[in-house]
Amino acid sequence: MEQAAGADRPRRQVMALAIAAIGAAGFAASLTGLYVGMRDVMEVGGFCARGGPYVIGTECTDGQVILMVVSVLGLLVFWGVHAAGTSLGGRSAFATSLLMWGAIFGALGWNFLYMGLDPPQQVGSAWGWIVSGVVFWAMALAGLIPAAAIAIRWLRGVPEQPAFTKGPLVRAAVPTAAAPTAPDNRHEASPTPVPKRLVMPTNEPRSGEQEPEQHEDEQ
Amino acid sequence: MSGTADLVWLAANVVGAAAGIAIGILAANAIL
Repeated sequence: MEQAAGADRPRRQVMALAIAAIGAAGFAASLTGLYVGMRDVMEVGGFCARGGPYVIGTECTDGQVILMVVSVLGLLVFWGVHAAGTSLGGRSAFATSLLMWGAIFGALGWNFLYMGLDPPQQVGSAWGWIVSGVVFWAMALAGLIPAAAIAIRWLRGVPEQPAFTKGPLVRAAVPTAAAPTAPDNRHEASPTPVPKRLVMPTNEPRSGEQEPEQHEDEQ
Repeated sequence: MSGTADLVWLAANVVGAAAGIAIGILAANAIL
């Protein structure tokens, strides 16, 4: 069984590598499509629409709609494909996900800043795009900084700490027959003696006690 | 993981991403 598992390991690594490479390619293609589609919409004013009862200033083309929808869905799907391949290969999908996060917000933030600093003629004020670009780049840094820290640890050869453990984090100390058990002194710590068994009071009178007298009007 | 395996893994991802960017540019220009 161990020999069979050892023989499957290289095959599993190759399959994981192929899945991860396909995921990286699909993710990059989707992000490129989203980047180009976003730039195309921003060049016509940053807004377009189709359908509905209202008058539309700028009609979206078929290509813009298809490209944006397919690209956003592709980002999510290929992100998952890459994470699956990476995990199958026994590597951290968390680090590559941080890089992908940084790539998304870095690329789209660059679009906002570039078009905000040099807006098309039909756009009056592009301050909103500049603010969006700064916010997008701040979000990109939130992923790239921890990704860089992980990359530096990898370059130094420091083993990566698992983000999640397979076993329980807290385990109960189960006393075994061989291990000496602590004396049961819970009752001694209590200032008042605690009965080990709850004794329910009965209605029967104890010896030496008189029965309660009945009133005459009750008879 | 050995260093060589890590480099192979990194190279496959970089090549895949580069191919994806090229495919994305071609596809986007064809669609728009």
